[in-house]
Amino acid sequence: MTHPNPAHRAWSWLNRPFDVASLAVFRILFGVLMMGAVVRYVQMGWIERFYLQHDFHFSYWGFDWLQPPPGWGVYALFAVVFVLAFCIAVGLFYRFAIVAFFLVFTYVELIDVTNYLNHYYQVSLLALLMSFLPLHRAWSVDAMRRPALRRSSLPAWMTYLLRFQVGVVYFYAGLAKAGPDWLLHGQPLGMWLAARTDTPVIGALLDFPWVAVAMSWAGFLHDLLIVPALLWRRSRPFAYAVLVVFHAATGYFFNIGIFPFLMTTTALVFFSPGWPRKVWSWGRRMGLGSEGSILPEGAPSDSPRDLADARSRGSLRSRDGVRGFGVVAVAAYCVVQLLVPLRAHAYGGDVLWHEQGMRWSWRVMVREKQGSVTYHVRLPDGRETQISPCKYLTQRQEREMAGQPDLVLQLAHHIADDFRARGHGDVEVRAEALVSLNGRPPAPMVDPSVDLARVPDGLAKAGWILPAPEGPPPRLHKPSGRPGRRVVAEAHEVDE
Amino acid sequence: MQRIAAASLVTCLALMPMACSDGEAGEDANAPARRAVLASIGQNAVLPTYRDFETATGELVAATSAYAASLDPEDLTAARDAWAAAIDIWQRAELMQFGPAGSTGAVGTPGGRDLRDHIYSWPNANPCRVDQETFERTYEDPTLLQAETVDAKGLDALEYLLFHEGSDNACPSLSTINESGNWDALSAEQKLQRRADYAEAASGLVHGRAQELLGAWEPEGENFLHELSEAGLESTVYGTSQEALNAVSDALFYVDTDTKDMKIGEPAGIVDCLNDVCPAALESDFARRSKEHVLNNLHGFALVFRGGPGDEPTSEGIDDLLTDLGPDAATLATQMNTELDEAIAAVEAVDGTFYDALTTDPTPVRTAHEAIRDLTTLYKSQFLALLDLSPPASAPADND
Repeated sequence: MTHPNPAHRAWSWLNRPFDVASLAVFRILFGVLMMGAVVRYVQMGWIERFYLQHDFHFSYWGFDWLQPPPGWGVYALFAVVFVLAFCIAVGLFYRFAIVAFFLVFTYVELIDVTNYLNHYYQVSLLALLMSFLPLHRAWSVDAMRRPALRRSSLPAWMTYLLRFQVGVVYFYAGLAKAGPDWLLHGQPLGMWLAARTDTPVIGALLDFPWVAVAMSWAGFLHDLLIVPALLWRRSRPFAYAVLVVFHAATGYFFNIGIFPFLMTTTALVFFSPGWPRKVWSWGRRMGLGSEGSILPEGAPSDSPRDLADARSRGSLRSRDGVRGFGVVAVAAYCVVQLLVPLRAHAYGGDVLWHEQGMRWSWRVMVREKQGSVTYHVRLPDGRETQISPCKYLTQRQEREMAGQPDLVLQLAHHIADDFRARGHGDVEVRAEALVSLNGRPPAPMVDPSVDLARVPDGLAKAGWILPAPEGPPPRLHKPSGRPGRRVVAEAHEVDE
Repeated sequence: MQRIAAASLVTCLALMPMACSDGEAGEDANAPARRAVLASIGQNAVLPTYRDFETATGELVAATSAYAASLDPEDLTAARDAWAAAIDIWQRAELMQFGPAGSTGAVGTPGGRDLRDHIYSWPNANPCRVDQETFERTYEDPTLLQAETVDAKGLDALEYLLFHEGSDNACPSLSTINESGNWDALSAEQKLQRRADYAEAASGLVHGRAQELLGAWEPEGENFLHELSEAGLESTVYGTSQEALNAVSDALFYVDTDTKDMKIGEPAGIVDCLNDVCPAALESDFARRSKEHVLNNLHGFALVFRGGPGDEPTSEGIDDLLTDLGPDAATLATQMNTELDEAIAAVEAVDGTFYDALTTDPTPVRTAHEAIRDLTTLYKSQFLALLDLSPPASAPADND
């Protein structure tokens, strides 16, 4: 019998039982992926390079109070993250593990802005959401140890919430590509692909300009349409196959770390909640695995009977007060997630240039910025000197800073503080930042006449950032053979 | 599940036409163009430079031997000239620190063996250490000298040994050789002889490293030229031609960090110097060849950027790679070549030595700094972007 009140109907709809299997697998894959991410970080020597090789760290606005731990502390934090990820994967002390994971992982990411990656942000957000979701109620050590914890289903809204979080990334990543550089000129993809013509089989195609434009459009359409396609049951398998190919290709071409794995595994949440059981059944039909079931006692399949059983046993129900607060909190979270990526439009201009509103807005791989920054310091007695950022930064930090005005400002403040600490009083610090956006000729990004030491960091529109360069990015052609190459080919023959 | 499998198959089939197009693009693709440039850089820039350097260091050994045997001032002049000839070539090679000359370690270059530091360790120069080894006569056993730190046996140590006049030492008064009175106990002639002998031994080591480096590159030797030319194909060092090009590009950064900032910017009072000028920061403190060093750095940059000497018809440089990418990138190539020529002209326009200029009128030195900065600004921005290159020590990181 349906309830006459729409709110109640919606509430019932959101709370109808969904098989717990999908979210349990979500938890397991998330944990395993995070364990892999930590191992990879250590293997690549990135703890040393990204956290320990420099004394100065760029802080996020409002988080400058957050200090990095000592050297051993960073290693300890990563070890903790690994252990917590393991606990999440196996569902051991899950409630504690996921909250602690969220806090520690986010803290590590907040240590230095130059380490910001969209997918790390996504990991933090997923961990935050998972902190409020009881994903350990099946296929977990916790559920094994405490039978009372076991559930065969979870309310539908939990799946929807995770779908929303995954969907937001694709939607805004698609929206971010809706610009002339990406869609009309195929940049910066054209530059990136032209550098990857060693790729087996298709490499020779990658320096054709039309390929870059075609792939730009493909990326744009993929990101915008993949969520609707995943939501529609009939197109879902095809959409997921496209998604896998898309992420495999981007993962192959670009250094984007765990991003493809994160997106391909988390996108599984769009499948019907009982998909792991179907996979298991299919595996058994194909002769894989034993005749026994991996399903915990009492866990239902997706059959109507089992779902009815789950409903009758009661999925998670909460008291009205908590329920009200929960609804508001979830709604507020979703609104924030929808609004934050849009904040860049409040600043006007080209966000790829001024970067105000760039972070936390899923503008994934849409700009190539390289720049050269020199600081001009003027002492109170009139003496002047130039400071190269490399005096304070690693090459990697310098590269990241060169394209991000707020980081240029932060280093200016740090330089002023450093001179003050050395007894030179209040110095003036100006920056000459010449930056190339998507291959354009370098243009000044920061007003070189502004004393940045006096400019406070903040969220207001930054008048000291100069307008973006006008005109299209360069159009790159496929190389043509030139006579010189023939002579070099002869040199090869000499070598042999 | 079956639907997913079917969908995957359809997607793979859709990609098949791309796979079939490989042969059509063939020779005109970017990767062969990059390999041609890399081959040219190896063939026309690196190998000739290393061959010249090997010859020059051989002559340096002969000259320092003659001087050690005679202590004749004319032989000293000849040894100094031989050192100058060798370091002039090496200053060009400073821009070629990819492959065996490059550094090892986490932020090293593929194929690196640290040979550069054994040949010339600046800015890690330590005249006091050289004086200590002079007193201890470590140089008498080549094996012992070989085992010394790099700042005690390369071209920078040789500069001190051959050009420092006077019988004092560079160590503080509280150092062992001074506090004990051992240094003062040596006669002026003993010190001269020891320094000459040390120079002969150090020259031998540098020559040995020059031979090792050349052997590593020569087609008849270990043939690193092949590694570079065949990047992405037969190379075991460079997985892709882009990776090799990035290693070359990393090496060119020397002109920004070392040449511009350390060799000119700091002494000229522009960078990290709060006095009007800081001549003590000049690179060549004893031979006063800082200007020549900077000039040769720029010539080294030109050799690599242009894939060999400018008048060499077979030269295929990074500038050609840009030119091939179309008019916009060709404009950048032209602009960079112009800036490079202007930087060379600006350094040549400095009268006398850098030291003289800094102590009289530093303006021309500062002008030279500006000219080099114009070049490196283009290099660090649009150049890296158009060729999708990463600055040194920043490449292997995730992105998104």
